[in-house]
Amino acid sequence: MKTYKLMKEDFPQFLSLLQEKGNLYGPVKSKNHYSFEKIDDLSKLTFNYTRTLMGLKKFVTPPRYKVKHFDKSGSEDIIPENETNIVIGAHPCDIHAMKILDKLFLGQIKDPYYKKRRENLVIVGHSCMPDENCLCTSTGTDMVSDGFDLFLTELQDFYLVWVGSSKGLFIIMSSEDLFSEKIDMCDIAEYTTWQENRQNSFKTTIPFHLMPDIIHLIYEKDELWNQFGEKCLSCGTCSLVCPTCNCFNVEDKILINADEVVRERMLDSCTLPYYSVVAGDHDFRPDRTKRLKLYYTHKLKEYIGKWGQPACVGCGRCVTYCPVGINVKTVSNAFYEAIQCVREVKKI
Amino acid sequence: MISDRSKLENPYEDHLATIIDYRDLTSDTRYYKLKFVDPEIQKHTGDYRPGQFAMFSIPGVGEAPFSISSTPTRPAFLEFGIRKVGSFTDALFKKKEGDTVYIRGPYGNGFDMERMEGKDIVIVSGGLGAVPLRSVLLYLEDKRELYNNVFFLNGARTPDDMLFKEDFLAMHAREIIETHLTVDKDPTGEWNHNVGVVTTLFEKINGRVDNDNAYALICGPPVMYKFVIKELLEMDFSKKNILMTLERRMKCGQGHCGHCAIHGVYTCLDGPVFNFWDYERMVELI
Amino acid sequence: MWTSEHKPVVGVFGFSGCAGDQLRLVHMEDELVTLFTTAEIKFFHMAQSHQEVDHVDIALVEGSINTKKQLEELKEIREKSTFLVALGTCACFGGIQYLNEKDKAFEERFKHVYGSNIKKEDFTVGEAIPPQPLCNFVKVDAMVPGCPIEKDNLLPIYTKLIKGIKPQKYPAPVCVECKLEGNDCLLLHGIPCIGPVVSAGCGAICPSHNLPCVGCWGPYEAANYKSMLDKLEEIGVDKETALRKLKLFGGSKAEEELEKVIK
Repeated sequence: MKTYKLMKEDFPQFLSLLQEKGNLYGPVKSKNHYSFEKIDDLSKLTFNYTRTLMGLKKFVTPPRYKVKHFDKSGSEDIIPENETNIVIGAHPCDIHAMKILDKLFLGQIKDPYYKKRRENLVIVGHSCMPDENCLCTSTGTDMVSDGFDLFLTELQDFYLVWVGSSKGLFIIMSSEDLFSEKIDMCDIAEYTTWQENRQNSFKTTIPFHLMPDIIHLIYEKDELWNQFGEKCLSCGTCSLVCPTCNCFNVEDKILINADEVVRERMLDSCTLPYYSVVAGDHDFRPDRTKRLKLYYTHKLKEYIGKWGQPACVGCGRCVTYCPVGINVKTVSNAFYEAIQCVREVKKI
Repeated sequence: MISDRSKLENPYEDHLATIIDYRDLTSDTRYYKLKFVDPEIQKHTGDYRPGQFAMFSIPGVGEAPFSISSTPTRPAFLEFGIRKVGSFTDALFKKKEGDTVYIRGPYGNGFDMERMEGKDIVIVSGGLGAVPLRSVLLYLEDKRELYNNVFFLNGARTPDDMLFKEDFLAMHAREIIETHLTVDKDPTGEWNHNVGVVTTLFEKINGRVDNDNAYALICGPPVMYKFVIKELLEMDFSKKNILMTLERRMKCGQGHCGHCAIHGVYTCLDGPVFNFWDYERMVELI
Repeated sequence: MWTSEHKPVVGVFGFSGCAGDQLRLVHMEDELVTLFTTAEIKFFHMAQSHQEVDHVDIALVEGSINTKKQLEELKEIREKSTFLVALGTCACFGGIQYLNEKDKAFEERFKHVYGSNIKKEDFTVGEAIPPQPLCNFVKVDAMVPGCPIEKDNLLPIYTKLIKGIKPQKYPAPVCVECKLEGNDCLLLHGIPCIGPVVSAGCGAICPSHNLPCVGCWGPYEAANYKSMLDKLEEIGVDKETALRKLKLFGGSKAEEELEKVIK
């Protein structure tokens, strides 16, 4: 991986360079939280933030989008045009989440709508410092070595710029005078000090690697699950803010003023009541506990079994945004604690 | 039909198909025979396996998955048996001969017919379960010499409720496949076959199946599985050779939308055909 | 692809409510012409003077049922219609007028408002009964809640119905739209928003302006009132206020659910 040094005083110029290359998006403060928004005014950009409400998934699987159009002459797929959307400020967990979505949508069967949006996207990552909700050291997603085009590590007077793709390299090449390849031992020492500091700032660890077995073994112990099922509001927040949740629903809309139909996809959540209803109104998951089981089995058990890592990137969004405190942290902890209690009583 | 969806630029690509024939199978279930409009696509009609399904699309209504009832060995058309249960089938049932729907597929794993060659096969269906298994039955009739003993046990509530009744009675008469039909009740008094639940037919095949070299293919209402599987296990069937085909909500058919997920599997990719081991591993399967 | 044998006949009927939903229909300026040309709108309480009920394919019914006469009319509409849509929160759940239905007798409330000198009969057309949503009396095929209804909720259902397609419901709470609008949760900031137990459809308009949801789209089908009450209590809302909030637009469904919770 090529690595360059970008001086902080040149950073505004770098941002302008990105703006020339395409539509620039980045973290801005909106109301009580942060969000990746289109940047027209560079002064709105904020890099001193922990997490955005929605991750990068809104660029590749937007909340609601049209996939097909029908009229009397036939049907037409609605694939987005070629364009360049550059998002700056993505954290390692966001980039890992994108890698998980890529695995799903660009696996053997490639989703054409995702594919085009993904190809249109340039990711410029940015280093971060954790808060108490960050779990990425537990999910192994605190560091990232691919999945981005450029990645910036912010240090005292300069940024270390890691190049992750040829697209990223082209950006550097197009304005070479901004970047220097001269990284001396002092710079390296500064970087490692920063990295050590960051590592020491993580406050929460959860042994996720035990979760597949634990969930398997307690799967039918409903008393453990019901404490969450009873509290869950079935509001969908956890799935909507989760950067790896990709479930979608499809709906046809007939336009009133013409004989035309658009088929739309919208983000869905497995915690919503009709998620598993089949024709004839049979519901495979009629209660909240059953739906939460699906959510957590998928995130913390099955995905690990299949891909060797959880479908959770430890971004802490569910921890931050679930109004009733049901999240990967509380669920995992509750299971561990229940087991711990038995261990203490039985002296195992 | 294009079975390798990964080769397609757009795996959601669907094609117009014309309804060339339809008739009522029961009061709420209808038979549809379809042919692709585009001759190039029509050439590939037989590119599917028994047990796979296709996604139907009606603009304005949406999409829905349906099991294919015809066999790839007769590639001139596609056949389906469809029950009117919701808004999609409601709209479909308004379609007449000559009308069109969009079809994409095939999807799902289907039955591995090659693997079963040279073996005994017991096919058990109940009610709507006859739809996907009819594909297997026709396939087996066409390639009968490749398989050892083949038994077909089919049950319905009453003779009027039996899907493909004429087909199955003819199958019974042809004797290419040993066919046993049953109804729970016979209000007509004109039924010449067995009366009783489908498991009562097992005594007709007991002792005649080479259990170590046999497959059982089951499809029917959830309540049926329990009893049929019990019979099969008593007959010493290997758990991996008890195959069942299931139903789930799905929006894409190719492992993306998430709706058909059961534990770590997607019904649309890893199913709809599962074996009894899968069932024991995944309590929510049925 | 879309040939239908005949133009569907649509009837718009109104019972007790502010007539805001019918008004909303008339206000769909961009679609109004198509609304009237794609279907034969036979009855429209607000837009027509001549009223006579005959068979309709689609009945759009606004308002709650507050009198015996209305109940008879509703039953007649049901009999004469193929597809009945409850239009607006009053028709779907009972609306504001349902409020406190269970707490105090109708007579008592009537006296409180109008004094004891006035006879109820002078005010009501026919005998008054406790306000109820349509579904407590007849089969409702689809619900379009809203106070008033939102064009974007009604049109997708309406355009399907006039093509003879049954719309499918996929209930979600306000929170879904709130997240899609890019808002974080007001409850986390101690603001008593009841979005988690309220039907989506408004586009989370209040939370998007930092105002808590008051529930005007009526109860969410999978509403968890127990957990909602606990959360409100946690952020310092006293029980009486919390219940009042949940009941305001909650109608008979919220009332029933809350009764179970309080027990």
